[in-house]
Order: sequence, then structure tokens, then C-alpha cells
Amino acid sequence: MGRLLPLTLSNETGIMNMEWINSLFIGQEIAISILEQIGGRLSLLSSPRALLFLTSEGLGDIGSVPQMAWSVGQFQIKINPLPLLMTWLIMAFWILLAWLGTRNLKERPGPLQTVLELIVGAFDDLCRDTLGARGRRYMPLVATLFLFIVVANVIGIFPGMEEPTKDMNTPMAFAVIVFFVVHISGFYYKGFRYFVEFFEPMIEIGPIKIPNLFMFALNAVGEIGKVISHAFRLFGNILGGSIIILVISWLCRNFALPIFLKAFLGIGIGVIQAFVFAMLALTYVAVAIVED
Amino acid sequence: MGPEEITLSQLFTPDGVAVLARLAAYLGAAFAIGMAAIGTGIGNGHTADQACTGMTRQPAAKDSIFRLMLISQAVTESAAIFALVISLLLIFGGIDQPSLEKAWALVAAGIAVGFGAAGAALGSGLTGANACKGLARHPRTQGSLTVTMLTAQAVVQTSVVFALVVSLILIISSFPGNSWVHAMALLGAGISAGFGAIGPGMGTGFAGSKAVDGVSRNPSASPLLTRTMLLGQAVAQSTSIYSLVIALLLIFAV
Repeated sequence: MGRLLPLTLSNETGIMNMEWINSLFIGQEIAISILEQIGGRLSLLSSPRALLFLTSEGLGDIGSVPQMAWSVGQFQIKINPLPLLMTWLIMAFWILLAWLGTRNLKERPGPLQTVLELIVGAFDDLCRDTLGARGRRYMPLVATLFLFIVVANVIGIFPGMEEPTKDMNTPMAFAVIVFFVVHISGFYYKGFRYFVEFFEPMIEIGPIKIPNLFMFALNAVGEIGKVISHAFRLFGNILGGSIIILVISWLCRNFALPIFLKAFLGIGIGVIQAFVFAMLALTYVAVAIVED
Repeated sequence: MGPEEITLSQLFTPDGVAVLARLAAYLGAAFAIGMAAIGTGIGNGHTADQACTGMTRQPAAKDSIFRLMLISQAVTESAAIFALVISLLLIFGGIDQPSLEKAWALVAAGIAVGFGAAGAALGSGLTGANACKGLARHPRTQGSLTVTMLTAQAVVQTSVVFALVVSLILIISSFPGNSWVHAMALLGAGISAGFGAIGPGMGTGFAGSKAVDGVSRNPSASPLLTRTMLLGQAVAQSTSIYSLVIALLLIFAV
């Protein structure tokens, strides 16, 4: 069924390329695909600048993904510079804010310290409510996920900026991090019993218990499904917002409208989705480690 | 031969296949947003219904109920946004290598996300409705109620996210062949992903709606409720994962 062909949305521009999804199903190319996936190109669609080039022929030229590629032996390492740049910008923003806020801590906090304390305190409460005493350990992860993603989703409002979460690589990386954190902490707190749970309910023949491989397969698929849904929920919402903005602004050929649409979709949907992402990470951890 | 000159009988010949693919894309776009609108409309209406009832009972909490209603509706709406995006991609996106298989893949993409969004939006609307009701019952629980509701709705939307993944694969991949067997396999993938998402979407919605109900009745049990809800939803969700697996098998392995 031609699944070895490069997969592009239109002939002229390589708008979306999902080669990696394809090659996941071809066994021998998995090793290559993982490397390609690091710089995979399921990314961007719209940018305010690209709107300038829309013609009456339709959404022909939505814009292409700027990409850097190096050849290392037989592999090609690709990097999407724009999401990478935005990622570093957001990190710099939060590091700067944290440095400014904690430079001289006072008993009676100034405005910035108050805001930062509110944020940290809210996440501390949230984690303690869900995980009990172990909440402190997971608070940095959950709060960081939220703080990074919320700025990443909203940053598109400013002209010239692009949401890094619109690039599939960013949400997928976060979802994979959460996946490893969940299972490693499950193993850390419950020991070997954590993995035994995947085989339950056991098949019982008299006194002997046999691990149920069928249940293991179901549970394993479910865990992988969690990663997919975790990443694609964020990606779909942010990418969806930008496609809607792009098409609507093309339809009415209005340059001012996208800004308001971006404000609604970025602030309204973006903040909620960032919170949902962090909360799901927290609840996945809770399901793995909390014992009744 | 120009697109206007193609007759119905010529659609399935090599000359007409480009028109066929365009036609299929429009049909798919209609399926996607049409079905999604049903579920999202009913779901959002449910939420507004309960918000009004809640305000009648507890007018003092009208601001927080109104805010919760809007948050819930925005999340419910994201199922329709997925469908809208697929519709727009189908209408405005270029068709790479039109073929018989590609045409059916485009219809399938619309069916997948349309039906998937219908179920998920109904479920998350139900959750939002009970959250508004609960907030009126116990306005002090606003914080934990909002958190539980958002978590529940996020899990409810998992099924439409799977449908979206299948739709994106169907739209973006190239299927240059003209075999009816593969074309029907692609249509089957869309049906599997779409219909498979209706039940889990509504079922996880039931779980979520009772969980937010419970949080508003007994706030101290909210961590326990959230955990139980999530485990139950994971089981209800597993059928949509099976249909995702079947859809991917139909696309890539048949």
C-alpha cells in the first residue's frame, strides 16, 4: 500500500511528514525511525508570517518547516530550529523570573515573590492532596510541566513567536518523560509487586498461580495508549487552534482577526490544556504509587 | 478532461479518480463536523442546563458556577475543534496522488473523527453538568471539583484523541494504489476508530460525572474518588484502544 513513500500533505511543500509513524510498523527500520523521530517533521502548520503568502488558489503554501540535517554514517539527524529556539526562550524566561523572584527573599514578599509563592504553593497543595507525604517529590515535575507548557501554548500570541507544543516532538518528549517517571516510581515504591500487577488477575489452577500473559498484553497496550493520548491531546489542541486561525484568517482576508482568535485559543484552550497535561501526569503517578 | 465533464460512471476510472478524491474529501469533511456537532451540542447543552439549575438553587455562587460552566464547555468543545480541523484539512488541504484508496481514506478520516468526537463530547458534557450541579450543592469544593472535572474530561477525550490520530494518518499518508480490498480496509479503519470511540467516550463520561458528584458530596474522599475513577475509566477506555489497534492494523498491515 505504498507505505514506503514519503508522506506529505501536498506535492509542493512538505507540510507534514509522518515518515516515522510509517516506519514504526516496518520492523527493521525502527532504529532509524527513532533517530529520525528526534528531529521528525510532524510539525507546525501556520505562522503569522506565512499568512502573507496565501493566495487565492487556496491554502497552497502554508509554509515549510525549516530544518537542519546532519549525516552521521547512514543516519540522518534532523533538528527543527524554530521549536528548539522557542523552547530555550521559554526556559530562559522562567529561569530569569525565578532568579528575579528569589534574589532577595523577604518576610513580607514583594509582588513578584508573592506571585511565585502562590504558584508554588498551589502546586504543593495539589500534589500533597493527591499523593500525601510523597507529593513533595513530584511537585517539581508537575509544576515544571505546567509552567513550561502554559507559556509554550500562549507564546503564539506574540508576533513572530511559534508555539513549540505545535511540534509533535515537544509533547511527545514530555509524555515519554512522564511514562518513565510513572513506571520507575511504581517500581521504586512497590518493588517487584508493581510488575506482577500487570499480570493480574492470575490464572489459578489449584494452588498454583500462573501469570496471565493475555492480561499483560492488554495492560501494556493500555500503557502505550496513555502515552499516545497524553501527547496527542496537547498537540491536537494547539495545532488545531493554529489551523483554525489560519483558515479563518484566509477566508476573511483580515489581518487583525487572527490576533483575537489567537488570544482566545491560546489563553483559553492553551492554559486549560497545560493544566490538564500536568494533572494527568500527577494522576498517572498517583495510580502507580498510591496503595490503599 | 476537465473536472466538470466527469460523469458519475467515469468517477471510478483513472480519468475520474482525481474528482473522486475531491468528492470523498468533501463527504468526509461533512461527516466529521456533522457528527461532532451532534455530540458537542448535546454535551454543552447538558452543562448549561445543570448550571442554570444550580444557579436557581444557589444564586450566591452564580459567578463560580458560570466560570466552571465556561471551563467545562471549552474542554468539551475541543472534541469539536479536532473535528473542525480535520474538516478544514479535508476541504482546503491538497490531495497528494489521488487514487481510489486515497478517496476512501479521506471519507474514513472524516468518519473516524466525527463519530469519535460525538461520543467524547457527550461524555465530557455529562461530567461538566454534574460538576456544575455539585458546585451549587457545595460551593466550597470549587478547587477540588474543578481539578477532578478537568482530569475526568481529559480522560474522556482520550477516545477522540485516538480517532484524531487515525484521521491524521489517513489524511497525511499516501495510498497510491487502486485496489478495492485496500480501499475498504481503509474505510474499515475509519469506522473502527470512529465507532470504537463512541462507547468509551460516553462510558468514561458516566464515571467522571459520578466522580465529580461524589467530590461535591464528600470532599475528603476526592483523592480516592479520582483514583478509582481513573482506574475504572482506564478499563472502559481499553475498548477504544483495541479499536485503535485494529484501525492501525487495517491501515498498515492489510
